[in-house]
Amino acid sequence: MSAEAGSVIGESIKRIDARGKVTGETRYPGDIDIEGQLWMRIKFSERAHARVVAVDVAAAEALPGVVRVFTSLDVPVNEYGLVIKDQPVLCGPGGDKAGTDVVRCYMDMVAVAVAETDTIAKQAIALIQVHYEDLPAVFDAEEAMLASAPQLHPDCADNQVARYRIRRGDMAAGWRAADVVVEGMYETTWQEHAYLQPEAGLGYIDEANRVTVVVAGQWTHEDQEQIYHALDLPPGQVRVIYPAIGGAFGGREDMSVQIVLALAAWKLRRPVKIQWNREESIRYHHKRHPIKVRAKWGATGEGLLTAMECEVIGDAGAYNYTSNKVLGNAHLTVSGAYEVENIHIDTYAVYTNNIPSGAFRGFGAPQALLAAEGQMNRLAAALNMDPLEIRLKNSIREGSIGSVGTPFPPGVSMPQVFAACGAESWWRQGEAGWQLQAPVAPSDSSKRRGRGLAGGFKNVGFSFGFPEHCWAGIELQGSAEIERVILYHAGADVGQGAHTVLMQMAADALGVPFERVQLVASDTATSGSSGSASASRLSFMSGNAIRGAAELALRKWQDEERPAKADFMYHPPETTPFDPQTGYAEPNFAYGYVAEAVEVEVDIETGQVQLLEVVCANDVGKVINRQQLEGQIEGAIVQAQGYALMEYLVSRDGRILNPYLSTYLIPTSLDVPPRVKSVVLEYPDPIGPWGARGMAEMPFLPLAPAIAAAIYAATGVWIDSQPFTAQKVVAALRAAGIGEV
Amino acid sequence: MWPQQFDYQRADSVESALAAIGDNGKFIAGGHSLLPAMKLRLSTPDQLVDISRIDALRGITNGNGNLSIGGAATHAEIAASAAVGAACPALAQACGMVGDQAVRNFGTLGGNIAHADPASDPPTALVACGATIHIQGVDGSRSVSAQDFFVDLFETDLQDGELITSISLPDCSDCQCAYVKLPHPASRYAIVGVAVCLKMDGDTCAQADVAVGGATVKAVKCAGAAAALVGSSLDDAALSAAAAALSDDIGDWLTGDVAYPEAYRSAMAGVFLKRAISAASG
Amino acid sequence: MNVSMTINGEAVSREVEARTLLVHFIREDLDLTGTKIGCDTSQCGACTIHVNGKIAKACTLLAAQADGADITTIEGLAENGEHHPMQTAFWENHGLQCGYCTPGMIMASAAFVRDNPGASEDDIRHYLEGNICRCTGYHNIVKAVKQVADAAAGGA
Repeated sequence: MSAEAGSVIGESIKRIDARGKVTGETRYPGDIDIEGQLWMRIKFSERAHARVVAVDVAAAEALPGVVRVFTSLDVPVNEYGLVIKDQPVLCGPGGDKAGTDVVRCYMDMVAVAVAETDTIAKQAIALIQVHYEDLPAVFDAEEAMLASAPQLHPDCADNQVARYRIRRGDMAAGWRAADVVVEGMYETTWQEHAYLQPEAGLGYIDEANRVTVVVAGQWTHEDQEQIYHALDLPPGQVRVIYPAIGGAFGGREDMSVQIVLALAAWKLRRPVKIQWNREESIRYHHKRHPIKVRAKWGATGEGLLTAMECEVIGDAGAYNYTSNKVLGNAHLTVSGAYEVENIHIDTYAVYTNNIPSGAFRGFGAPQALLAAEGQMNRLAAALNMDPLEIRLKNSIREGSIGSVGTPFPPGVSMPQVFAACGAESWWRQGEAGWQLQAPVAPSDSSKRRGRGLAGGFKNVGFSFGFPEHCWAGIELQGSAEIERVILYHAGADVGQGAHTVLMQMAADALGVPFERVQLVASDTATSGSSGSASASRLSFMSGNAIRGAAELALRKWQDEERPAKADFMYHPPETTPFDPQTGYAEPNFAYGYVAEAVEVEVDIETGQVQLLEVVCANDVGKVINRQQLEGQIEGAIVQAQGYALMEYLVSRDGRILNPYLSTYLIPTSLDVPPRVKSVVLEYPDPIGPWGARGMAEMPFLPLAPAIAAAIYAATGVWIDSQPFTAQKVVAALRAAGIGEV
Repeated sequence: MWPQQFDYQRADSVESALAAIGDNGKFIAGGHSLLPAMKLRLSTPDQLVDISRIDALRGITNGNGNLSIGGAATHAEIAASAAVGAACPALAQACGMVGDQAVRNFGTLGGNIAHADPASDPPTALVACGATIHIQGVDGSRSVSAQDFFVDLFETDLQDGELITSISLPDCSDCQCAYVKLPHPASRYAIVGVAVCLKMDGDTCAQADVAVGGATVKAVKCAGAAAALVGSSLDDAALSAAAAALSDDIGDWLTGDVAYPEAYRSAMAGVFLKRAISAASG
Repeated sequence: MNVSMTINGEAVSREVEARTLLVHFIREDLDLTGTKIGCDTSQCGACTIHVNGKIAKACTLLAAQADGADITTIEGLAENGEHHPMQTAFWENHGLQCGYCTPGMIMASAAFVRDNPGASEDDIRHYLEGNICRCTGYHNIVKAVKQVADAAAGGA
């Protein structure tokens, strides 16, 4: 059934969870207690890299009020990991798997103490004596690739947890054809998710004898899988429930408190609660990858790309988490949204003794696009071409072959997105093509203004051959007409408003008013796996699953079944991994496209950069809920602004030095651009539900390179190292002889 | 996050507060500097004596050319006070920049300066504007200039068991003063804060006082920069000379971090000296 | 020690450890979990409440300091079963996503508009600098507060 008059697709339906959130009734994991619950605290590693020789828990267990201290000896299968199970649940001696006695970073867990009160549990942790045998550590990804570097994992001799290549075309011919060649080195550092709700959870045994964990995550069934694997339980013995979730952004994709809570609750058969504070949250969950890109691109005098060479090195930290996938995505996006025949890319994800890196909104693309769009802006400058013109000349379009040798999936809208971004911001089309209008110069002589542009694309859904799927169940109740719809779905509402959107899609697919739909969500006991709230996939995947389930349920309804119940597992077109030699792949089944134009003001005396205005053109395929969609754009832009200009996580020898929101600074209402214009485009994705594409990550992607371009336009200096702090900008300005007072 | 255990009592007079404070006790007014330090266990007093409801510590008065602010007056009260705005705009500006509204509602000037955070705003204004800190202990009272009060990083002249009763400033309604800063993004702590207090005789600067904070481990009085301004018409040459002298004035006291190292802050102190003078003259 | 105060119009009195922070007292002793803990360093404002009508960060006050005070939390903002206009405005304008900052954001905004009807967008952005939101980018929050501020000015 398509969107038509009366449809709720595209309506700004008010989110179903708003009432509880404005009244304070909504309960997040830390707000939930069970009578008689115990409290848990975790003993984390005190070394960046060391063998744990012994864990002495006698004193801790002797403390009155301590119920139990768990160590590596208590974990049935002492390993976990979202993609590769390379991390011990509790590091320590006695395991039958090599390397589980080694701590590889400060976030490794060594023991957990469970006590009658939180205070006693904390005291118990202080009494646990861990005996370490120090091992040489490495904190730089490029050093970790050297033969002389210490080996971190028994089965990874060169510390390269992932390595990808692209070899296409004839590089020598590409360089010969180039009239201009630009080279750059782009560097990014960690970013902290800083979701407002710190990790917390509750473990207990439910009425069906399932060990149950109430926690905030992004994928109930993946949490469940990791728990039952480590506890060596049958899947049905483990249940995961998400209550309200206080933000995620990729930061809850991997385990935090889930496995240890389940372990303690299962062994003690009593409810156990844990609550992290902000410092623990920052110290003990993964970060966005620091990535270094070396790039060399060539183009003809007319601005057509002829050759591209890139080397991409990502710091995975101590464990893989999703590093092999994140660097895969960086590998795919580091050539930008452009067509070029001759291309040579090498990408590495490297183990170090730093905090693990993992998923974060954009998943490797923001780092890769800082390089790709930086190169494009340099080429435009070198050729004295308009930055929009040069992009349109090279942009991928319908039928384009990507860097991996296969066509982009149908529905490529990149040129339209670039053009819309230009037209809705400061570009005018004339005889000579698109032309950027310069901003009005500020009256204050210490200030300069500039405008910049960047764009890109990102996959929707899991990539590189991952068995992508999404489940939905529908129950239709009533007699003559459908009076009530119960939608079963596991998708996580991390704050983005997914649950409201799922219900809108169900209402439309069934042709019933929105008010008749009820949702039973985010509980492994009531739903099949809907996959994660990540990869901009939930609306796309769920929409297709809901449509499938709706069709089956309506058929049963017509066959007079009451209630009519059906479920459906949606499988999108299959993808394939990179060929190890050439990179050939069909990496993804759908993409979203985005471009952003920004205006900045640079204080040339202080180096402060103020973001004045952002115009974001985002092809979303089809709007499901406009208010929520624009909220995603505005939120992503501010997160990306923090990334570009101020967020600076400092780590020395594997230890985070600023684990507080007073020292790790994220944007406040005073920092954000007063003007954000969302240009929402609807070029339907041929296989998207109602034509919808994913969109939640896309507005994050091009902001940093757009700001870098605007700083260049304002001052003539390039800033290639994120974050673009005032100090870095001043250093570049002074080197160019600008702004000396 | 919980502080370490302690005993708590509320005092209803300065005398009873002084009598109650033990060997390892701390006075608490708003607690907005002390409690964060206690939660991080950077401060572990075994006793807190609450002085926030002692009326004698709360008033703001201006008489006989002397502005007097009670030690337990809040930043919000000071920022909104017409008396402070008239007598010392720089201090009103600085107090209005501390933290955010909720913090200003409870944080007090006495607590702020006792804590002596180098990135805080009021100390810089107090040093430039010639404030005097009035202190009482069980053995009597004493007064110390703001310049001498701030000793080093989080270190002041205040002795154990002593209480800041008030802060006084000469009424400088006939001078021009201002406090400006380069704020950290988001936290808005001062990367560099500069306060100036100028007395003009026509177009000539007759008297100048300059202080720098944020860039330094404490609020530093900058005599060299001030000397470069006196006698000048605050022309570009004088400003450049003052900025150059300023880097010598603060050279021994500089501090920095990874994002904003010492050299950057030192250079910015010069920039903000000019901006402070411009704000004061405007 | 004993602390007594009025919370959301109700007199409460409890024995607590002296070190009990007001936010823990509210959440744990009184089970009013609408007031959140986000940062513990008085940065984020998720714990914003009203103490004697003034906004306060409950993570940076002792329960003992609030002895005798009149306190309002998010649970006490609605009157006679009617949502406060600020609650309605946040709901209508999609001024929230994950919602974790929302109670503190609404408490700060409600006090602000009470004292500053007709406030400008710029005033609002300044006042809310002590309340961090990681989801929305603040635009819809500012829009919600402006709507209430305008209505308050119109009604005055």
